[in-house]
Amino acid sequence: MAELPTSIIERLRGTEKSTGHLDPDLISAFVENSLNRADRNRVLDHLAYCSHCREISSLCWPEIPVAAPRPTASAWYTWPVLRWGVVAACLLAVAALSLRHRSSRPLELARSQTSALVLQRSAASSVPVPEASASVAGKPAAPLPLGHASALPAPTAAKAPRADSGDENEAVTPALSGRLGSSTGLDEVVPGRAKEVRQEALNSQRPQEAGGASLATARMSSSAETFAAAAMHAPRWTLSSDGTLERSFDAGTTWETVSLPSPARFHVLSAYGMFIWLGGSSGALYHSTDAGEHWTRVEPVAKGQALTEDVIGMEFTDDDHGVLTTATNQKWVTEDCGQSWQKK
Amino acid sequence: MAKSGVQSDAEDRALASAVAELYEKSRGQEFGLTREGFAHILQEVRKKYLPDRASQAETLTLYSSLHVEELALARACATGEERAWQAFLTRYREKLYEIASYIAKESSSSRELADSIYADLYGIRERGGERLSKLASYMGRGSLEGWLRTVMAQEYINSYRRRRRLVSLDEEAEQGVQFVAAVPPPARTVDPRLTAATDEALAELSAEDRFVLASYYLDSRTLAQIARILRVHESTISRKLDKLAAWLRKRILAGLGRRGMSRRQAKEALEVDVRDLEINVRTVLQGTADPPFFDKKAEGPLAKG
Repeated sequence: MAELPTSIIERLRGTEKSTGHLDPDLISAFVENSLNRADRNRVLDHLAYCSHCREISSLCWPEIPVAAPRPTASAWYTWPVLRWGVVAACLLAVAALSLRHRSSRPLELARSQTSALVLQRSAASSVPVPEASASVAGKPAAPLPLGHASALPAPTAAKAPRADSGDENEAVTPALSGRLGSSTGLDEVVPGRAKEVRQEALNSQRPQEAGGASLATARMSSSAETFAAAAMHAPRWTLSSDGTLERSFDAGTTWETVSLPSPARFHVLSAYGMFIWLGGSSGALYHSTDAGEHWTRVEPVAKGQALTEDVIGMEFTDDDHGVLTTATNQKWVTEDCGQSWQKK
Repeated sequence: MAKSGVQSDAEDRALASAVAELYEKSRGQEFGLTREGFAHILQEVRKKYLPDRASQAETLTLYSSLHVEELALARACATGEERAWQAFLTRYREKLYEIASYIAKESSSSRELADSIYADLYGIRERGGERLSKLASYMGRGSLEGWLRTVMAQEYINSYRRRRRLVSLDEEAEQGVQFVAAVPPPARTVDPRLTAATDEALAELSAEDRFVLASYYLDSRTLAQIARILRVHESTISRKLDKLAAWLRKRILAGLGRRGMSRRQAKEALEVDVRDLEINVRTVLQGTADPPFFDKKAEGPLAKG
């Protein structure tokens, strides 16, 4: 960094002015970037000469740091691009291998669950709910489409009937619905789920056992793997008629209520693997990246205006790019997972 | 004349319609604010930020940029509306303390700051029977949260400066301050041609350039902090500072040349400053003596720079 001679710094200090100060409205609007160009230049003109107002404006930044914009000139071969390129290549390779693996061997519960686990871990929700898990439950189910969105609560037909093994489910559900959006330990949730899955696996495998088929699926290689496999299944989602969010880890066989720390009534959701966006009344917008274990409240703001209308429609092509539709037909667009928004 | 009258009527209707729409958007009715009261508030904002002869379009642009809901809430609170205060406390009470702890850092100071601001917002003082609430000065240009942050920052800086001016006589006596002979300010002679050339060059800077220089060299802000304010990348600020330093040197040297200095004289005048050669005699003497046996630390540097 080039140093300035002392004489220049002294004159910079000597030519500061202290006639009047900016009012808090202008300073806050400047910090929030909600001034028009002319007013912004006027404010900048004042700040250039007033150390008092500069000091105040520096304290006005919210605690959460704003991500610095990327430099305008960046070559495709820079390290961040290459790093993500390598990761993407690995994901594709693993996905291809596991798909090939699945199609070449007889369908067995433990192996299908393990491959689904690998898919979920490595593909980071780029793959829809695997069909294998649905077939284990005995119910064929189409994978959740990408950018799935519904303006109304899901029709009851989409909701699979509750499983008969309700005891294990009941053991699980209170643990979730009793928590207001706080994190739930997977070890509290999974055991019930894993028991249920194992029970179904045993049931489905008995005829095969009698036929002398492989016993590998009936005897889980490790209980930890089973728990993780069950937990890592991307869930199915639905909204009940009263706007309550529900999810299913077993392709719709059983459903559990997911509580959020919000009194809002939810109208629409968009799920993409482990990621889910949820929109509701009065601009309520929530986001989860781990199948609803943790939720983040997102408050869209565009040009200083916050979203306060009901969100009645949403469409996300991936976790970063999405469009919200409000009750007054406004469109709110994000391209960076909700960090910034544009209103159209 | 008739034409301008018709135009004026149409404009007035458009403005009235816009104000009505904004009133609906502001939900002022929920906070006990009438439409007339809201229109009066907008007039106040217009008067503060626009010249008297501002056009209808400029007025509408200003109105549409305001945070009308927060404006209605704040102004209703300023008049003492209970419903408005309930809403304000629900939304902003926690945030007040969070902002105060971010600004003041220390928990006792932050609590004190938040409590004093809260009292000013509520309006515990009266003048001529009218409640004096700070919220009455909120104009809706930025968000209410941002405004609260700015007000709190102002109060914090003002109270910090007030406390700094207060000194304890007992502490000073203990330190022997009153027995110390006053040190006369060192004689500084700066070539007036250098001052004039420097002022000329600084006056040519744009507001943004001067802001960057002042923030970095006078306020000691980091590159990241300045970049965040101007919403550019840190490297942009770094390059800008380098360019500005080089440009200023060039302009000042040219200015000194126009004032009769040779190139060498101009460079010397610019780079060598008598303030950099200032030597503190006491510091030198203390620095060369043996330190007391119980004092492990040596004195500071002999010369500046």
